[in-house]
Amino acid sequence: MRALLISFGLFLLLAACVPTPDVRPAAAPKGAYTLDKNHASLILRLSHSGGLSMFTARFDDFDASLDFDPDTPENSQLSVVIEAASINTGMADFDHKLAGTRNLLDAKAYPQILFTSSTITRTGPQDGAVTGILTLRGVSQPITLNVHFNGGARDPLRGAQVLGFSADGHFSRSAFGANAWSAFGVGDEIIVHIEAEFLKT
Amino acid sequence: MKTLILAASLSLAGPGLALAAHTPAPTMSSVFDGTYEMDKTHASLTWKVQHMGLAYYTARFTDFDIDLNFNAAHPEKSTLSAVINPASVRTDYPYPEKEDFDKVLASDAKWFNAGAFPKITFTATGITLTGNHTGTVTGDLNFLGVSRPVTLDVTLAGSHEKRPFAGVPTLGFSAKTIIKRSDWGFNTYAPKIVGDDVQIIIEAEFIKPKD
Repeated sequence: MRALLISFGLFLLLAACVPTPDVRPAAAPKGAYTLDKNHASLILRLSHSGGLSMFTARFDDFDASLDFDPDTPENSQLSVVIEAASINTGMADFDHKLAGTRNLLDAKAYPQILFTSSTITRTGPQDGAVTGILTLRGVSQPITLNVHFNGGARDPLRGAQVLGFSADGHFSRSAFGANAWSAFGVGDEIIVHIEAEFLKT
Repeated sequence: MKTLILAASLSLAGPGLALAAHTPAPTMSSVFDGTYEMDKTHASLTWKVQHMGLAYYTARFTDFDIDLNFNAAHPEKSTLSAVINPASVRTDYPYPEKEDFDKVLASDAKWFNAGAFPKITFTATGITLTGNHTGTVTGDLNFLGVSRPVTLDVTLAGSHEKRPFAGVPTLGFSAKTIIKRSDWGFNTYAPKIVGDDVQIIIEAEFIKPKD
């Protein structure tokens, strides 16, 4: 109980010093960052049954590394690895089906989905377009993510410098040969929503 | 082999099924009137809350159900209620070997406290049409023993008079809102570490069972 009280007290103390994030990219420390997997999500949405609803799923297992250049954010580098079999719709049997379908994720043959940034263009003080190569089912095609820098802070709870980003993008799944069930009203456009915090290494 | 041929001819038949869902007309056919069941295989309830102002922590409830009684001529006279099991919170916490974080969130008294409050409920009290297929649904959200009104922006995304394969009327909705969790006394680490505003995004298809 005492330990609990102390840890709670310590938590409150640390919580009191949580700084407001600095939204200026130029104020963020330069260098290598790794994804904080505790505070990251990768959500997919696609139209179902000709537009009845947006089917929503996520990948649970992914990692990313960021080399951040505060002076010239365009020179930053991002790479992402997603475990294809970690697709999670909330229905385990269906997840296996999505992962195992040859003209969908085909996770056995292509266990990893990759994204590597190639060009970054600034579109606003906290915004940029990150174009890179997405490799899905072994097919590589360029896609662009619109990325918003939410801010950076030194987090006393994690003992690290943290950068936070939100990103959106969309691509045609058939361009990667992932065209299963297109004839049955399952949309071709995949909408991606990413939330990610990165910790300075 | 027979199954294969059947499957192949079915997939050939696919494009002919013309799955493009109708953009609902201002007045919909009365075949859409009645009581619907939520299609749990095509429904999601996602929530997002700001974490330290750095990113939106994104999770969902996997066990929820919505009862809908739809009035096609007067959608504003439809009735709607929802039940969410707070113990079904899924964060997809990446280190299950360290901690069952979903269980902590579900059961801890400072989070969803599902032992004491095993249900989150929403009961619509008023529906207003804002466009041909958009509206607001106001209702009482009962959460942690506190009941407060919430208004959702709802879009009727599409409809099928006869859902392909099943042949029954089907409706698809998207809904979203932002609530202040502190209104329900849910203040843990708010607002600096975990934001007070919670974005809620719902996608759901509804099937009218055969009579």
